[in-house]
Amino acid sequence: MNMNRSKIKILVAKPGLDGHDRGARVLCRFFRDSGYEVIYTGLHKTAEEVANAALQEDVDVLGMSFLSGAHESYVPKILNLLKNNGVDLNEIVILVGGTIPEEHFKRLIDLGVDGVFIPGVPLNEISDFIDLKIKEKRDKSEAQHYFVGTKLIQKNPV
Amino acid sequence: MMVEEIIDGIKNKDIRSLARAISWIEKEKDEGIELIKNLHHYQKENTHIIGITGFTGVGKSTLLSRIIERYRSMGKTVGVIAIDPSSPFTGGALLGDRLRLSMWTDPGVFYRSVSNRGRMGGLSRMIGDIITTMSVFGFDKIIIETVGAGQSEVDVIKIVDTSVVVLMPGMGDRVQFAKAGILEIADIFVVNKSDLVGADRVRQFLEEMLNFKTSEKRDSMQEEWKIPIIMTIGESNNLKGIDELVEKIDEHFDYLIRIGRLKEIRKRRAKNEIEMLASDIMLRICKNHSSDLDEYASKVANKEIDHYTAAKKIVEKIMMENAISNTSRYT
Ligand SMILES: Nc1nc2c(ncn2[C@@H]2O[C@H](COP(=O)(O)OP(=O)(O)O)[C@@H](O)[C@H]2O)c(=O)[nH]1
Ligand SMILES: [Mg+2]
Repeated sequence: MNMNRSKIKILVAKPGLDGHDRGARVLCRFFRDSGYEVIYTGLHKTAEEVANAALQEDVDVLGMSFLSGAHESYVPKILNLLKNNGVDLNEIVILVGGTIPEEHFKRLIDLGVDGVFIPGVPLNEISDFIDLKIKEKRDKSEAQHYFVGTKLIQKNPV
Repeated sequence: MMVEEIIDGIKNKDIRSLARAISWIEKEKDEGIELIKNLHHYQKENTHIIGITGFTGVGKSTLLSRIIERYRSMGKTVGVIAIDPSSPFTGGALLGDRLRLSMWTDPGVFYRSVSNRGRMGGLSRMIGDIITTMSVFGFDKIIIETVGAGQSEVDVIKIVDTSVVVLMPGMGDRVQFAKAGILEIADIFVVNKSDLVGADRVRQFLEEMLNFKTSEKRDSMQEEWKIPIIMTIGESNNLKGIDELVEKIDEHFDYLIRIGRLKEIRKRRAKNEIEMLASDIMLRICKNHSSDLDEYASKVANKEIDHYTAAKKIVEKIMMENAISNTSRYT
């Protein structure tokens, strides 16, 4: 049992109109089996629904999965809703995963996303990154890591 | 965030503050204790605490969503605590109940998932503290969903005012009824999925059991609550029994108030909590006396003294020292 992880709460969200959620479900099971607490939203959630769930559940990690390009409109909207409701984005780890074009990585990071994961990244690299970011955010550490696409980067994004 | 800030936030119906307060309680932080100490007297008088219990898959989360919709149409606000079983092997948990919720953005609904797993304090104490906090926030109804498996979850059901036990056809009727611990504390029975064959048979079983129970205790002076059996369909285009269920849940609450039972229930809950906390404190103090413990343990191992006498001697010694002043966590 990993008692450190068991106090970490992750919301896996599917905002938008994606047709399936196989990837998100695999991720949920992986997180559970790695010792985290996982809440899954199910398909077809609006930005308000995702933000509200993250707010009410007071999650440590918000992971959003996109397959069809909807990240461009949803991510800024969801992050804004969280901020407007008093959530300090420096306190939570924000991840975006799925089919995200490389030229969008920087924009997402600039919005406040901590990690962008594209298909093919080994799942344990995601959990390692979560553990690292949780520690960085908790310690308010100087060193900041980001995950962009397939690699871990320190300090200056992209 | 500071405890006072959060308390002010909760009193002013700030969702962020409520969510953070619950995290403190859930994660067993000292702030959570500070919070309860400073907030408990703001609890609303008539918060109705409802439990929904039954095996996984009977349709609790689905019904819960229907019940919330009904309460919202009546203008009542609802706070939900969904307790999900966690994997005993990894310590991880997939809290899947939120999936079935229909009202994600209604400001009159607050939904919180909680996992049931190895925690220092008991699950029911944690849930009790969350209830206290939600009551201060001011929800009319607080609903707890739990499978009711194992002692810790049965203890949770014992702290609710109205306990709804959900069954469904075709799960091996006798096995369902063998869970007597839960059946005994049902105030309302629901046979969900009554669109499926076998629903009537479940109803019959329940009726027989209830007849047997009422013939057992007939001479009580107090007004008796007649435990209803409600047939429901929680999911389809022709829902069934939802309004009747909500009506019965509210009737039960009125009954508790009418006969003065609500105060009794609150007092019983408090008594349990005090007992648990007091024994926690005692255990902590005892463990702080490790040199005495070691000494007595050697004596018991060497057959110089028995463990009953040893335990009594340690307690006597602790009481002499009035060691209670050394324990900061709960005092
Ligand atoms: N046929 C039928 N299925 C239902 C009914 N209510 C819920 N279900 C289904 O039963 C399954 C389990 O429901 P859920 O609410 O998750 O059960 P829980 O584990 O007790 O919370 C889901 O697939 C629901 O769609 C009902 O009244 N009739
Ligand atoms: Mg459920």
